[in-house]
Amino acid sequence: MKFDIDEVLTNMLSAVKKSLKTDWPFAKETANNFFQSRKERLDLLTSLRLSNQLSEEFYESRILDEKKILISELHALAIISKVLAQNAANAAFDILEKALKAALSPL
Amino acid sequence: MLLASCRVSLVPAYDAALQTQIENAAKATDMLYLKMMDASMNDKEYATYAQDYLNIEGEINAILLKNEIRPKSEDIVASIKILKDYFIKAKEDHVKRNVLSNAEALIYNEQLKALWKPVLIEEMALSKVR
Repeated sequence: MKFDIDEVLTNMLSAVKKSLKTDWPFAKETANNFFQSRKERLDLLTSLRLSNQLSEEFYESRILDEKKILISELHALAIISKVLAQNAANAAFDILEKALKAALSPL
Repeated sequence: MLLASCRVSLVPAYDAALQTQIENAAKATDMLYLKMMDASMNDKEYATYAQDYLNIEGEINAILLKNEIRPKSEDIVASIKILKDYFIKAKEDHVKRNVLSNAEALIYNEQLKALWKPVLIEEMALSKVR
């Protein structure tokens, strides 16, 4: 059977696009969720400080801790990105594998 | 055959039991601070919650250990270490001052929820591997 490299590459690219399109909403929703939660926490922290329910020292420490929360969220987004990349790469490999199997099958 | 063994692997395999363990430990953390906020001033002392703190710290350590021996789990381990450091710091603050106000307990709870969330999302993301 003929092995058409152009057709195989086009199909591999389509598989990558389809995979990314499937996975993208999870990444986007997670990033939005992190952003919204941060906004709500900062609003809460500030309102409790303004009403004197938190000391200046406690408030400043927790604001610094927000940086650590951001770093942890970035690690989560990194994992999601790796899952996206892995799914996309393997979808492309599946296309290539099928094409090679079909081309080699008469041999 | 050759290509089948060439699949890309960038993240660890999903572990449903570990996801359940994370959910339970996050819930226990939430319950610790909810109980504290619900208690009268006399029942807000550290000693009342010492066992709960130890149980949760033990769970965080167990989740960390399981991830440390998993291949390709550097990002997950980093998130759990940040959570662990924060939890210990919050516990030490309670030990030092003996009583936390409701506002302080509320903020600790909200920030701990924010630190459990990435850990849980990381495990959930692994379930999306095809």
